Amino acid sequence: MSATAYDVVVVGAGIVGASCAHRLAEAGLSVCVVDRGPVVSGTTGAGEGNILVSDKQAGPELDLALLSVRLWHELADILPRAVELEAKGGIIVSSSAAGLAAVVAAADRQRAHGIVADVVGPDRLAELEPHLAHDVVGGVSYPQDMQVQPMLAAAHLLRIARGHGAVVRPHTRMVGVDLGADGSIRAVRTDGGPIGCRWVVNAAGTWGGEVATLAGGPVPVLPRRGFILVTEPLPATVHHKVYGADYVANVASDSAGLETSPVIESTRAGTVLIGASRERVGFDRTPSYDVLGRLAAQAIALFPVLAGARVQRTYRGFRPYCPDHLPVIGADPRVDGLVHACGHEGAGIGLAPATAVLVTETVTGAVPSMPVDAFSPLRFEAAA
Amino acid sequence: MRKGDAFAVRVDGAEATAYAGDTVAAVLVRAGRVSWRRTRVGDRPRGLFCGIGACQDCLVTVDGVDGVRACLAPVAPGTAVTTSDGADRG
Amino acid sequence: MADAQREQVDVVVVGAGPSGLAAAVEAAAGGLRVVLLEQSARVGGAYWRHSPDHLDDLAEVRLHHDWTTFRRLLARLRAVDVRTEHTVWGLERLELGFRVRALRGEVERAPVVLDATSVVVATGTHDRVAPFPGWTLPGVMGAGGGQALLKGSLVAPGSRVALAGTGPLLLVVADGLLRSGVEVVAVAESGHPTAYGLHPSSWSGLASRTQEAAAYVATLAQHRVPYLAGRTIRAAHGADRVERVTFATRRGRTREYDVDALLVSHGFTPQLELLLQVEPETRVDGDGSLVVVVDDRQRTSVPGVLATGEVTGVGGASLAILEGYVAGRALSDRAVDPAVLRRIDVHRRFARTMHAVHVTRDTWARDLPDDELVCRCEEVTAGAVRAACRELGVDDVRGAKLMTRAGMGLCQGRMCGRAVTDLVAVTTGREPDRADAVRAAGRLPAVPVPLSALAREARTGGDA
Ligand SMILES: Cc1cc2nc3c(=O)[nH]c(=O)nc-3n(C[C@H](O)[C@H](O)[C@H](O)COP(=O)(O)OP(=O)(O)OC[C@H]3O[C@@H](n4cnc5c(N)ncnc54)[C@H](O)[C@@H]3O)c2cc1C
Ligand SMILES: Cc1cc2nc3c(=O)[nH]c(=O)nc-3n(C[C@H](O)[C@H](O)[C@H](O)COP(=O)(O)OP(=O)(O)OC[C@H]3O[C@@H](n4cnc5c(N)ncnc54)[C@H](O)[C@@H]3O)c2cc1C
Ligand code: FES
Repeated sequence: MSATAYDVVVVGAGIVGASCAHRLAEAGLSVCVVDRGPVVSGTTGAGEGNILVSDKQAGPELDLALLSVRLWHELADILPRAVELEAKGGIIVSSSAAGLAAVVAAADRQRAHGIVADVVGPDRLAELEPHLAHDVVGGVSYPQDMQVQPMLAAAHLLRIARGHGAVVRPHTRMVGVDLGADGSIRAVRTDGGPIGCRWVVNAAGTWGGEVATLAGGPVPVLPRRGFILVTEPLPATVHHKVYGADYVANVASDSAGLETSPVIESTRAGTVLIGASRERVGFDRTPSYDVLGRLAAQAIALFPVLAGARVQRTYRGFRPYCPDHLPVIGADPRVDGLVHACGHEGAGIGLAPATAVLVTETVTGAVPSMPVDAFSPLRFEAAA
Repeated sequence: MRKGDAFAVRVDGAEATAYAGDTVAAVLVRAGRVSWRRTRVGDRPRGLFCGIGACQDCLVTVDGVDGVRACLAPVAPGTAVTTSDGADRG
Repeated sequence: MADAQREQVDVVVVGAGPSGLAAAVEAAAGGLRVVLLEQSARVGGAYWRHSPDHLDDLAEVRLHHDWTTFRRLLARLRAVDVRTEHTVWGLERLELGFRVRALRGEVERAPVVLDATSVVVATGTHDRVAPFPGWTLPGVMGAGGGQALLKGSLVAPGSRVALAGTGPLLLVVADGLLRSGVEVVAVAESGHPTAYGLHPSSWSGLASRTQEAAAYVATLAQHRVPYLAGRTIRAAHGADRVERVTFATRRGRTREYDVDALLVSHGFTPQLELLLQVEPETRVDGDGSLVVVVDDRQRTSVPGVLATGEVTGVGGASLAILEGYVAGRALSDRAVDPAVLRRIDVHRRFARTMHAVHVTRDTWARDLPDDELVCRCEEVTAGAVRAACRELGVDDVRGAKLMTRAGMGLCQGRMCGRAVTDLVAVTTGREPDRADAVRAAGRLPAVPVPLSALAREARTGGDA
């Protein structure tokens, strides 16, 4: 095949691939999205839908998050109400004075970088979250934190992308790339035949390492398992996103061992979502009753009224993480035409819009909206 | 068509007759109830559907505990059953 | 703290229907320490559902078959530690053996944990009801569910009852209702039972079954109840309960009946959730149900987990009893009577014919109006699922669940899993595969579990 069929093939129809397809197609490029499974069949379907600034410290990830929050507000204009995009705000709470002091100190640092963070005392806390345990001594409220139903958001972004001419091909697995004589990408090879293109976007999430290797530009993306509990529908009990103080520490943590810290919130359907655990156990799908038990115990510790509420569903997913906990975004100098957009760990839903903008700028040659060096695919080689 | 020992239980505050081995559902249906709950979204009436504990349509409150499957929960003398329809009425 | 109450036994049997009872009794007879867990208040399962203290009540005996077998099993059940009102929600593989988690009491919900060397899963089925207009009206019930009410408490689901769907159960239930003095207005059987005649070899050796069927048909005739082959349920009508039903021929000729109850069975859905928690090999059976694969000793592909009765393939109570017997013998390393294995083959052959004769076509999925519910719990309409397919690119049951909430409610997708799978297939033209079926049938916990019960599973650091 000689003619280039598409400008871009996006590998992966999760929230990141969908966001990229949307931006690229909107920018006038011809786009084909392939996924080895049905649409949104990867980690996006196992995520909670938090769009957070509260859990991020000053640095490139925070800049990406702040850009994303701005973009999510813009997306609210084109996404239907059904995606449940809502700036409901988050609150980090602590049951110990020492824990609270640490949270307040972190908030002071964050404020300098554009995060709105208000310290709240027990009285105000009781107004914001009447069912919180009495031993909670205080917390910090983050009004910028948002929430979205990630699967619907991804599916609607794909729908909008199709409106701009993009083609979505589920059940099509990328197995390699074809390079031209000059070494640049000519086509993506799939189990359904080759698809001609000039650019390949690796939006394969937790499988981004595999796809990167197939494309000739390896990056280390590994799974970090997480479980979530979902209760039966309840009368309004939890009004914001409520995190335990150790949540932020665990998000940033490097430990391979099990970490659990409470993240609790209600959905529009009345269910309460209870997360989150983090552990590196490869792609082990076996349920861990210990982890489920810890999540339950922590939820009760924060909201004692939940003790009798029943869990009707649990699910697990594998966050795509890189050794330095930053995503890989941008052109791969090793393969002309390969662009990465993967490895967002526990924040891929939140960070997808900014990632898509950076990917589109890479492909169109526009000036990037923010510095991207920290996300370079080559940074791991340098470290090795 | 039933013999054996009858005893009294309370359904939505009123007395109802039950027999040894009855489930809450049996007591409700014998008392002429076809539905006793309304759905969350569409306010649709619901009663028994699967009859064996699988569908969760038949939920009632028993002795203060919500979300009890009427088709499985046995009654004993004095059991207090509250249905959400009954609560609305009362 | 949970450790203090944890018990170690040889065998846990889940489900006290015909197959679970037989397995438990047989394993205990081989000297094993057996605990039998059953969620309802009494043993017997779907087949021998009965009211207590009335085991010799004639009214009941008339409703039951194989009553002597049941009495015999009950007598031998003394060797088994029977725990009724125990709903099992978790089956976990340990290094050695298994951990079984249950809730005691539908109201009390007390956590119970048992460790066992082997587990027999005999959780049976529930009615399958393919959606039709009006199927969520009160008074519309699963046919087996109506039967359960009648047998368990001698309460009829209505006083003027119609039955619809397909399969021998419709006859069984109609017979039971008539014997209890209930008016049965008509039975619509969507299949053509005369087709059994096309497979004569499949019922050779099953004289009792054909005689039984003939007796039911005779009862219907005696009460002048029309048994309408090739007729389907078109709609149930009523404001706040079913008042009228419309049956239709395949050519579209309709007839209406005034009723106060409609009992429907489009076959059965095996309850596989516990088994799927340990990921055994599965297959799709002749009736489209996902079932677990077992060998000639009822062993699944997971060593130590056996399965008996309807979870291995819908085939009726006699087959279930035989499978239970085999499992119990296998567990206690005793020889299995080869005649039993031959009987099992005969029953399975018959089951294949039964599945072929009683097919529920997926035309319902084309015909169901957009505003009719497919998911009862989350109240998701057929139109919403179709829109997700057409506009959002959904082409599998998991996608439909994530996009529409179908299957995310309290029944955990039991009632709509199969229907949504079929609806998506008909809408998109993509044939579902076994992985789709496993996804639709898998759930942890197997029933909703209080957070407080789950919290006890934390080994350390649970009280952050
Ligand atoms: C328990 C849990 C909770 C989380 N909570 C949050 C949260 O609250 N907020 C947040 O922002 N993030 C959260 N995350 C993280 C978030 O879910 C991920 O970062 C995000 O979904 C990644 O999106 P993605 O599009 O990169 O990957 P995916 O959604 O996994 O998409 C990648 C796709 O690539 C496809 N693919 C893989 N290989 C190939 C191939 N060879 N050919 C074709 N296609 C291929 C896959 O099938 C898949 O569909 C959570 C994660 C977990 C596990
Ligand atoms: C509602 C219904 C009524 C039926 N009525 C008849 C009839 O009258 N005549 C007839 O010939 N056939 C009837 N059938 C067909 C019947 O299923 C089989 O003939 C036979 O009962 C199958 O035996 P089994 O042991 O496989 O399962 P079942 O008899 O279904 O027994 C399974 C048992 O497991 C229990 N169980 C399920 N899940 C759990 C759990 N998580 N924890 C603890 N316990 C659990 C159930 O309560 C049940 O007692 C009926 C089927 C259904 C669904
Ligand atoms: S009627 Fe289905 S759970 Fe009770």
